[in-house]
Formats: sequence, C-alpha cells, structure tokens
Amino acid sequence: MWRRGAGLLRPHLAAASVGRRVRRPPAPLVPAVPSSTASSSCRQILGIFRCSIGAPSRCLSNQAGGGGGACWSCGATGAFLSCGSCGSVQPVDPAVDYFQIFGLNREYNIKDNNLEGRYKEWQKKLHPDLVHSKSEKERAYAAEQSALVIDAYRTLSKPLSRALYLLKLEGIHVDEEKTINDPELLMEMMEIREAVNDASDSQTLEKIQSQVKKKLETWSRSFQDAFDKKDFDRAIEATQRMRYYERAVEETVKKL
Amino acid sequence: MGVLFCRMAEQLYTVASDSETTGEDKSQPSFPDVAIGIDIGTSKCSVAVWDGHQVELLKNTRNQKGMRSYVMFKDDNLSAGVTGGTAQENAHEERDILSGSAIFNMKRLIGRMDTDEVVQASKALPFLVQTLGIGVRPFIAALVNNMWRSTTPEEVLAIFLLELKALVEMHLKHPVRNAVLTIPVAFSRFQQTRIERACAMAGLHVLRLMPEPTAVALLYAQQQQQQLMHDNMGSGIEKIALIFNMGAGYCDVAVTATAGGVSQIRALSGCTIGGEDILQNIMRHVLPNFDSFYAGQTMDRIRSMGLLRIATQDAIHRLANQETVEINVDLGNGQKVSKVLDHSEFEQVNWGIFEKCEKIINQCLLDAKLVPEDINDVMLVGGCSRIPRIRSLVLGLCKKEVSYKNIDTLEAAVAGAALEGAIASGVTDPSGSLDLLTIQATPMNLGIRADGDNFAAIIPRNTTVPARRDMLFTTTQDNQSEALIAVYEGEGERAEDNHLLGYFKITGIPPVPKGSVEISVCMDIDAANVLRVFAGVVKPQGPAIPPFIEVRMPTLDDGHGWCGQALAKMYGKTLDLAVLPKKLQP
Repeated sequence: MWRRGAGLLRPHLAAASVGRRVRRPPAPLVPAVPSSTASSSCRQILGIFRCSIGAPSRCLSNQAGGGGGACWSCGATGAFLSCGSCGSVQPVDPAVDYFQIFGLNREYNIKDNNLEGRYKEWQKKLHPDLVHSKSEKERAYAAEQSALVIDAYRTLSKPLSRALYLLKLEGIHVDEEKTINDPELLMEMMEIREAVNDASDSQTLEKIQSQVKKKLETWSRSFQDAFDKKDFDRAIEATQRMRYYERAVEETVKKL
Repeated sequence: MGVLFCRMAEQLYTVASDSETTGEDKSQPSFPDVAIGIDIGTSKCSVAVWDGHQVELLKNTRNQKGMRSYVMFKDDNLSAGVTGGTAQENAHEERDILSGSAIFNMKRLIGRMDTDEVVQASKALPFLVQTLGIGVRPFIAALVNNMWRSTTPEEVLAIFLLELKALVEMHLKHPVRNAVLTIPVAFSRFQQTRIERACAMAGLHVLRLMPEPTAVALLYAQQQQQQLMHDNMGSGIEKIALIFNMGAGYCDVAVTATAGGVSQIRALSGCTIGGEDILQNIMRHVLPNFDSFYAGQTMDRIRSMGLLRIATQDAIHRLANQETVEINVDLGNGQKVSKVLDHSEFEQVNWGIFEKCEKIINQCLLDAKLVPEDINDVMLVGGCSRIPRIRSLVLGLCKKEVSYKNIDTLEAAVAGAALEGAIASGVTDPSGSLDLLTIQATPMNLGIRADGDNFAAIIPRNTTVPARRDMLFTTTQDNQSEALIAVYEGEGERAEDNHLLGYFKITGIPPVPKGSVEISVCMDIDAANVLRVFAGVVKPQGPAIPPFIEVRMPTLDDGHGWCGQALAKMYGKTLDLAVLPKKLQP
C-alpha cells in the first residue's frame, strides 16, 4: 500500500521554503533598471530569484567579492562554489560573476576553448544529482549553484549572449524592441531573407551562410573594439547587428 | 476499482487500487539501500543492480536476463513474464501469451487516450483494446475463463513490477524500495506520471526516470573514463557520441558530449515507432485482408492471429541473418499464408519507418548543432538495431563504417540505469568507476497556448536541466479580466498538436486596453525533474494586482483531448493571450 494525499503537498512546500531560506542576502529589488526584464520581475515576485542572475548590475559593480569565503560546513577558507577541503556545496554568492566562475577575465574575447571542460568539472562538484544523500540545505545550494553554472556556461559560450552579459555587468540593458531605423540595414535584411527563400540548393545556402557569418564576425570585432573603448552606444548597435545576422544564419540552417 | 489481490509464487501481494493520487515525495532523504535499475521494454524487461564493484544483471529462474513483458490473467492467478508461470508444467509458451489471456505492450498503451493512433494500432493485439475515440482512456481487458476482464496498463505494469521486485529481493536478500527506470524519449510528462503510479502501486519509489539513450550515455561515459584512467590520460578530450535506440515500441536518439565522466546530453529526439510497427506492417503485407479477416475477436480468430504473429516475428528475426525467409502458416477457415520475403521487399514494406528513423536522427544532430563529422562514436542499441537496414541507415547518416563495439545491444540501457541508481543513492567507489554524472536535457518543448491556437515554447527542447525560463504575454481583448494558461508539451506548432499538461486561469487583470498588460509565465524544472508553472501580472504593478499562481504540472489526470476541446468550446477567444515581442536578453 502506498501513502496518498498529504504526501503531495509536503515536498512542494518544503522546496519552496528551502528556496527562501537559502536566498541570502534578501533579494534587492531592482526597479532602477530601465525596462526590467521578464526574468528579473518574475523572480522578484516569486521571491526565489537567484540574485546573481537577476540583478548583476546592482550586485556586482562595486564588490571585489567572489574570491571565496569560509565554508559553512567545515570553516575552511577560500571556498568558492564548493569547498576545496570538505567538498560541501556553498550557498550562491551574489558577488560572483560568470567570468569568475570560469576563472576568466571580464572581457569579450575569451581566449579559452575549454569552457565546456571547466563547466563539466564544476557540475561534478555541484550537480544536485550528486548530493542526494546530503542535507536538505546543501541540496538546495547544489540546485542553485548548478543552475548558476549552467546559466554561466550558456551565456559565455555564445558571442552574442556574452556581449550582452558584459553590457549588463556595466548596467546597460539592450532593448530589442527598438525598431531598425537604418534603411540600409533594413534593405540588407530583406535581401538576405529573399535570397534564403529563393535558394533552391544547399550550395547557394551555404554561400549565403558563409557571407552572413563573415558579417557576424566583423560586427563581433566591432563590439570588442567599442566595448574596450567604453563606447557603449556603438557596442549596443553591434549586438543588435549580431542578433540580426545570427537570425539570418539560423534561417539558412533551418533550410539546409 | 477495489483492491486487487493476486497470488504469485506462494506469496500474497497487495496492489493498491489504481485511483487518483500521484507518486510519492521525490525529494525524501535517501534510503540506505542502493536503487535498482529497471528497463521496462515494450517487449522485454530487465533489471540490474550495483553489487559494490560493478553492475550485475539479474536472471530469472529460467536463466533469462531479458524477461518477456506481459501479465497472464488465468482464473484467480496472475503471473508476469518475470517468472513466466514459474513451475515447469504451467510455464507460458508464446502461444499462451498470444491467447488473449495475457496483456503485453503496456509501454505502448500507458498514459494514452483512445484517440491516439498508437492505441488504435493496438487493436491488432490479441487482447481487448476498445476505443470510443473521444479522448478518454481505452478499455483494456484480458480473456479469463472465456470472459473479458477489464484492467488498465498501470495495473498490469504494477503486477509485473511486483514480480520483478520479488525477484530482486530474493536475489539480494533484503527489501528493495528505490528504482531508476528508463523511459522512451517520446514519453510525455503525463505518461511519466503513469509510470510513477504503477511503481507506487508495486511499492517502488522512483528515484529517477531516465530517457533510455541517456542511460546508455552514462555507461559510455563510465567506459571512456575507465579507459582514460587506464591510459593515465587525466580527464581527456571531449567525445561526441550518437546513440540510436530502437526497441519494440519506441525509437530514440541522443547526442552526448562526454569528458571526465560527465555526459552532457546535447540533444534528444524520439518517436513512437518500433518492432511492433514493423511486425504489423509485415503481417498486413502477407495477409492483405488482415483487418477484415480479424474483425471482431472471436476465440478462433485470436488463436489464428497468434499463429500469424509468431510466424511473422520469427521470419523477421531470421531475416537479420538470411537473404530470404519463408512464412508458411495455416490460419484456419481456409486461409493460408505462404510467402517468401526478401530484404528489398521487407524494406519496401517498412519504408515509412526507416524514413522516420532518418528524420529523428537528422533532427537530433541539427538540435545538437553538430555535423556527422563531429561524431566520435555511434551506438546502436535495442532489438531493432539488429535489422541490417537500420544499422546501415544510422551508420550512413553518421558517416561511420562501424558502430561502437563495447556495449551490449540489449543490456546497455539497464546497466546505465543501475549505474545511475548507485550514483543517485550516494554510493561511491574507491576505483572511481562511479565518479560519473549525466547532465540531462528536456526532450520536448514546454509552453502555453497563445496567439490563437499557436504554441509558444517557453522552455525549448534540449534545454539543460534544471531549467527556468519565462516569457511575457499580453491580453487580446479590451478590459480582459481573465486569461487562460493552457500548458502544453510537444513539437507541434499548433497547441492542439501537443500534449495538454494542465491549465489554470489568471483572474483580476486590471481593466485596460488589450495589449497593455504584461503577464509573465515562468516555467521551472527542478533537479528532481518536477515542472512548476508560475504566472501573474507584472505590469501594471501595485496592490490592486492579484498574487502570482504556482501550479505543479501535469495536473491532468485523464482525457487530454476532451479537455482541450471543451476549453475551446466553453471560452472561445475570450481568455486568449498573445506573445509579447521579446526584449533582448542574453
């Protein structure tokens, strides 16, 4: 025979309360950020948002934190995401940014092609599947940390999302709804779309794809240049261009 | 439905009734025992356990590792394929299993409605599958003393699992409670709840449901890791593997990136095709009047259909190693089948099936953003991977000459499940052979109905789990005070083409012109793979706005098809939502 009824609600409530307990410090609300994004607003309301994801601009700018603190479990110092001496998963530190997680400098051109390797190393220390037998508290930490590392990996592994994240760290949000007012770009996008639609063989498509990819690279370099010079208007423009070309590449992939 | 008692192997077992309530708390603290791994196949089932040093596959009293998946209903005795009727004198033969008294193919029937084409196709089975075609459960019954006695796929599976559990407990000499089960990629979340229920009825606590190819991926990760440790190469380089798994009921593909004992699932795809479809295609091919000949299940027709099934099945098996096979069977009533079948005819008849296999392999590679040249190893598992055409098709698409050799076609999935069971139970191994991890991805899009009957995917398929995503929606009517959040899962562009998981309303939306409120819908899949949907108004804000709603999905118990239509009829467009254009976010 098996239990029924009451069992249903319990885990649910437990999970919710754990989520709240581990969240520290209390989530700062971020009305200051213009056009607060769906994700941050949702997280604020739910009261379970991961600070470092929801409001990096607030949490990160003036803190040199993230170098690792004392482990909550064994007290050893230098515990970063997980404790080096006892292996306990640490609570999420809102001062840690994605670049720190991967031991990278906060810059666009990450000279590292072993992102996936490091991501996996972290997951082996943090993934909730591996702390099944640990305390409820540590399991909750693992869920949060693991999700954070997934987000970090996802964000940094792609140029456009990495660029947007860098801008976000500078406190700049890019509004995609902004309509294109550059007639030249509009024309170009239309031309690409038509060319993709008309392409009847994979060779033509591949050719279009490589052309668009080249443009994507040009704008990627342009972003780096602008970002290094702190010319954020130009950097934002570059991200918008990158988004358009990325979509164009996706369209060719779909047809190929 | 009352409580069902069944007598098996001299012991009295109790199966709880199959009524509402779901599985038990997934996040309970761990139990001291190691979770067993179970692979419930459409045709065969196997069980394995970590014995402290390695994975051990258990054998039944007939010395089989792969046990036929069925439950025999005879008088008051129920017995499943695990023991196969125990004593020698009443051991079940294949013709007994096809006599109408046994229910099999539970995995194809579980959690499906009577409008489902898979259920429709199951009418060609010897037991009773009755449908009304209105989106409710099919009526399933086994022949007991010349009478159809009703049951459900969950109940049948529970009885089977009880016998399986008894086998493991007899072997391990201690009670077993936790299990990791493999499931097809194409299983909806609703079907997953049915599996959990069947397990609960059998007294098993589901620690994890793993898509079958991801269990194989875990075994592969272990082998790669051991190879590297053996060669003293550290964590080594990343390897890409494509796993193709096709059994009697389902076909799955996974692409995994493995390094340092960690298997990251890059993409999954699957569909409900398998050996059963191949078998039915061939039966209809050799007996063109199959459907009219077997219309209405009389005793002699059931017997005759059983003969045809056995003969066809046997021919398909032989064809894997022969150029041609002969099917000769006297079906009674003056109907005889005498047919020579060769490969080209076999392939022609099953052309549609091979095409589907090709489609999901290509889909999986596309989703993983990889090309065939990126693949290091191709793994072929499941009974159907023995079919020459399937092998050449998969290898051809992956541009490989040979498949990965180090795994057993039929045992890889259950071995992977047993590994996962040990890891999830917190077992460690000094030699490092359990120093493994699978990072799962979602097999299907999760989203809601929006913009008319369209499907807006909030968590796209192949998103790494745990995952949390949100999306903004707005109203479609002026002063719209309520909105319906209908949650779906699947690949269709139209909401109705997907599985409905549940629905709820957002009420108290402030009276403003259409398009001016922002409603956030957030979906969260936690580490235990539980899906929660949060929704509420985020703009405007203030004390006049109702609180957010949190719903654990699926909430539906039955009749998806029925519900979707009823909702549309009842509310029309009055509670519709539209997707708000996205803001640029990383």
